[in-house]
Amino acid sequence: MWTSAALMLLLLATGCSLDAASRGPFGPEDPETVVPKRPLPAQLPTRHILEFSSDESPEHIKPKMAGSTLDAGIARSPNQEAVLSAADIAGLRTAAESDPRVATLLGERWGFIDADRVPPRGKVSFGCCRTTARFTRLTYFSYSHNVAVDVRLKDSTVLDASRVEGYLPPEGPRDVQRGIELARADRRLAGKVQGMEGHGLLMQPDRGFFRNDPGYGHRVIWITFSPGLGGDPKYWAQVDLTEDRVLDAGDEPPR
Amino acid sequence: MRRLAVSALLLVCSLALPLPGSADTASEHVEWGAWSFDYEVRDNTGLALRNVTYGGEQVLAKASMPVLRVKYVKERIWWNPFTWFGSRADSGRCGPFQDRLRWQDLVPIVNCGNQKVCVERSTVKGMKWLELGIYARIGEYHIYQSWHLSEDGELRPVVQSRGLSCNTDHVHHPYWRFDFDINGNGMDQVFVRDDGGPDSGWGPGWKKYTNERNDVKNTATHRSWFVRDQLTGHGVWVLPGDGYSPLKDDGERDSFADLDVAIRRANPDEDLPWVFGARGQLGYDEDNQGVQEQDVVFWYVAHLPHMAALGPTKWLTLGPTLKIHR
Repeated sequence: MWTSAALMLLLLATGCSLDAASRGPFGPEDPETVVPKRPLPAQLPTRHILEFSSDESPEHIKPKMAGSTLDAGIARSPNQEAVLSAADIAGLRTAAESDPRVATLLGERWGFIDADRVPPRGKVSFGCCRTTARFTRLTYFSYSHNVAVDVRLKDSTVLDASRVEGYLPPEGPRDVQRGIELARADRRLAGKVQGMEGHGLLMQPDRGFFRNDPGYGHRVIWITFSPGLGGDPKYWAQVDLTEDRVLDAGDEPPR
Repeated sequence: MRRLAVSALLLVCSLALPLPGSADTASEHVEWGAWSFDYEVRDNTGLALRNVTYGGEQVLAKASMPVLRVKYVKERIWWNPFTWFGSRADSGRCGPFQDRLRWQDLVPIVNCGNQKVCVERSTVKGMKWLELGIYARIGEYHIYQSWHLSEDGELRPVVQSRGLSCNTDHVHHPYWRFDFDINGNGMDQVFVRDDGGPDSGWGPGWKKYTNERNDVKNTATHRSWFVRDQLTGHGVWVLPGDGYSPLKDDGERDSFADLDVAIRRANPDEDLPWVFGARGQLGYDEDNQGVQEQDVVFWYVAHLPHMAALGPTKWLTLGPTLKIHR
């Protein structure tokens, strides 16, 4: 009986969290290669003293290097080839979203996440040795199928579209917008969040011992409402975008 | 008098406009002193530097910050035994989160000409510095991610954070990825140094990494790392941060982010947006590849504790120091 009790306690203590530990040990170490053993520096280097001073107003004011005086400008030149303009993205989205393969993968409910140019494979990339990058990747999340969808294009032709199982892309504008809409309409927050700014952040519910956390395995977003830019939430909601519903919501307790 | 007023107005307007060459673009080439590099904000890896050279010699193929993992402390509720241990409610009341900084998250920086990428030259105590930074808003967070380069070869990756997603203590774990290519790629070595350590032929306290490994800081021995090109001996120190006030260091690892550094063989298939989720540790270690005289990637993980009692407006700052050694 005591063994069973101890085993139960151990299982409770270790739990079934998804939080992964780093793998280890890695495996045997190779012998050192036979290269000349050029001595390494005998002393640690000295470092400059650098501090930052910051304004604690809620505006988007960056911290400053303490004691600094600004100098004149520097040589800069835009790498236009490395990035996509809003017009580029709109054109690529039109091409992708009208492709039947993409439409099938996305299903009825989905959100666009973002788009990026795909640099040439290997070390030759944007910058000094850049070539005009013609390949792009669009990322979507299909709420209907609960999976990320990756679309590869060359110019405006869809080369490939595929499910990316297990990948949790960053929150896209649609994720945040839909999360805020659902949270604002929730009865627990009704009449409380008008005039407040809504924010959204992708979260990852945990696996449980007896049952999983609500929203486990789904696209879940943490929505907060705050009076302004200050990062000081007053109300919150946990929204399951896969099921298109609010899991829970309430007032933010005081610090 | 009127002409004077019009001239003054024109002067004020011209000062308010961006300088030529300072267009708000997500990627630029920059030359400053001995430094030359490209910066970019793309692929969910924050503000990244590419093709970094110092004194005409390559140092890094790419330096980026693919993720800030954020873990809120677990709350133990006296009446719920499932919150006492590891199961259920192992998460904090909110999160965990995996913050990835992208162009769409950036806001104009009020005190840097309302630009989304701040590029500023300054002098601090006689030393010239170049700063590149982005100000991201993700959820309730304000994150300023920056690179500070000194004219004598110091490179500071810095992350500063404020704001609360919920009113609970939490820890931000920024992951920096340094793809070293010292004097070109393919012949880099990685060493670790401990005060008082044995001499295995590389000098007192030095040990060479032979395979992919994770490792941890050791303040007692002033543990530090050195990546160098085998052919020239030119290298770069990686020194754990001393912390920027009020923090005292780069924080303590915990079970959520249980490593401080990782050495990996460079692989183009591993230069991706963060794929391990909010709860996953850094991987790319399955094959225990050799890293001697290879193209290597060095990961550095810091641990920024944010006490909710500090409130949402207090900036907290940390990051390691990289120093070029020739």
